[in-house]
Amino acid sequence: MAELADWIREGYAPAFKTACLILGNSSDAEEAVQEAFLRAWRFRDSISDNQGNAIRPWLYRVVVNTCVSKLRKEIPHRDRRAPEASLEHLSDPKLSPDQEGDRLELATEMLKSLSSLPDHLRITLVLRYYVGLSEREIAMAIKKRPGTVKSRLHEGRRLLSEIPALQLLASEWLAVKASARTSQLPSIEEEMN
Amino acid sequence: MLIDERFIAEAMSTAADQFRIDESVIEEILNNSISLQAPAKNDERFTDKDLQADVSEIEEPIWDELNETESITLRFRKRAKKISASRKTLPVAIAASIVLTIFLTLSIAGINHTTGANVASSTAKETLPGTKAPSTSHIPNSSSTSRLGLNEFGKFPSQPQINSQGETFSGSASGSSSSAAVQGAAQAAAQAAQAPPPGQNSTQSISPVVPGAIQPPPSQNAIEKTGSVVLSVKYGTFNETINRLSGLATGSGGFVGNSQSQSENGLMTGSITLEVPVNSFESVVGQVESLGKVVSVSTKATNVTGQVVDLASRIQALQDSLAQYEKILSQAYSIGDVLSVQSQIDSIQSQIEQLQGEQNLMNSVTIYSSLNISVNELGRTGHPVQIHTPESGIALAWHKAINGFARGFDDVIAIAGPLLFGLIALIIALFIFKFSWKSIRRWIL
Repeated sequence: MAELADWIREGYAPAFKTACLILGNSSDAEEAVQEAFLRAWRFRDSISDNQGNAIRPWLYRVVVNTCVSKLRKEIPHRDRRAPEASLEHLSDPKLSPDQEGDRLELATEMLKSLSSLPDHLRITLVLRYYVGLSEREIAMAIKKRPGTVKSRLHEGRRLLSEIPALQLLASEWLAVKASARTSQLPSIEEEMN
Repeated sequence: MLIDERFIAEAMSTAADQFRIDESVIEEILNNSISLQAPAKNDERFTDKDLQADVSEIEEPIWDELNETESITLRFRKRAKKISASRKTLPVAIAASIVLTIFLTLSIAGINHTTGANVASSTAKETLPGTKAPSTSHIPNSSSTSRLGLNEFGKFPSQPQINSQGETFSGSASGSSSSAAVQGAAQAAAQAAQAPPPGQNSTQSISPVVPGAIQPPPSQNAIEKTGSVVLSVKYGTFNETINRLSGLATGSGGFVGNSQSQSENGLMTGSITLEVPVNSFESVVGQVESLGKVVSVSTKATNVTGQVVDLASRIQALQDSLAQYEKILSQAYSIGDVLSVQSQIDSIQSQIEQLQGEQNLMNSVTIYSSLNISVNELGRTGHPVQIHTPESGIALAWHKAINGFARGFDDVIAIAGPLLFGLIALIIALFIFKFSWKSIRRWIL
């Protein structure tokens, strides 16, 4: 029982957030992840013996399958819920109000952009850039070839790059990163001295 | 340029951080999981029905990965079964092909029959004004008559039972150029509003239609009748003939739908459209023929009972569906559900209104028959007005080309119907054969 509790407590948060990014909605994501975990728990012994090192992609496959099932069967019949209009913003005490506002804008824009992508591209992008699975692991998770995963990632990035608002945020982000890097470097005068 | 991958990762992470995790859900999952028994590691999972269902529900490829060898074996077995089955079904397929060939042959025979009937009909229509056609030459649409299985046009057991209100027909008469038309429409509407006396087999058996109400399915045939008559009348009697035709319409309980007249070379020509009750149609045609020299007569009757019944049943089905949705709406507990169900209800209501409009139109054509009469005034010498037709040269060639094109177009349409029917029948037969080949094979072997 303790093992189960640890297993679920450890894996629930990333799985829930992954489902949120795929479905764009926390209540749907909750249902999907709950269902996925119940299924995964049933088959945990089978998977642990046969493919001990592949639990993570396998678990995400179950989550992705449940999400896809929701996207195809349930959500279209009730006019797929729009991405949550007001996100439950969790304030970070370390950040200033301006920074928090920027984060919220970035999050909102990213969710909107993700929801505009086709399901198969959105899932691949989330597994790669949020979950951090490798292309091979994603291929196992979505039961496609690594080449397909690669092309989907490229197509997804291309579509995201065509969204002006996101592109603007990306360029601002790069500029901030570049200035931060510059400020960390010693100035020429200091070097001369 | 593509967006930086690090930016995408950070943006996604930021977006994901905005979602709050409900700790109570984890506890709920834990509570639900306690009651679950993890499956045994061996093949026992294939004996647990509940588990098998869950496995198939998740996705088959999971097991493909877990037990690749077993999956491959199963696939080979399935394929081998398919191959052996296809060999055994070869005789059945040949028998089905023979049956289909016979069916198609019969369809093609039907095409030839229809084409022949169409040619006869088009030949009859070519009777031009001025030719000496027999005065009593009824030219019913032979193809429609043969399809309905009727020997004579007048033998239709027509009994219109659905009527519409006066507004419908006053609207249809609005385009008429004579005041008699409007008066006739009003009279018809007044008659339509009256119920027949009990025990009398009246052709005016009328039940007023309430807009939006469902009409009961007709128990008898609903027939749509149309016709046209070309009359030649003596010099100076044109206006009298037109007046008598108007009187015929109003006298039979109908009205004048449209009328027009013009003078050419001092001789009057014109046409008038009478809307007469469908049961008086034949008698009105007979009376019209007695008003002058008949050049040609053509009538057509179409049985639209199926369409009327179909419309009524479709409306009924939609009404039932609407009632169900309204019941669901009363039980909806979230705004999303309410909006979703409401949109369905709106959609169904618009469909019902559209079908009711079609039903009203259908009712109107089955109550009143349209008879178009062309009246030509003969010259002082008693000869009909000659219509100039080219006898040679480019004009004649053009005339023939137009006629030939129209005839060819008619033939193409006539052939397309049976061919489409044959194609649909073939597709249905293939589907039936595909889904029932096992039982057929067992029955034969």
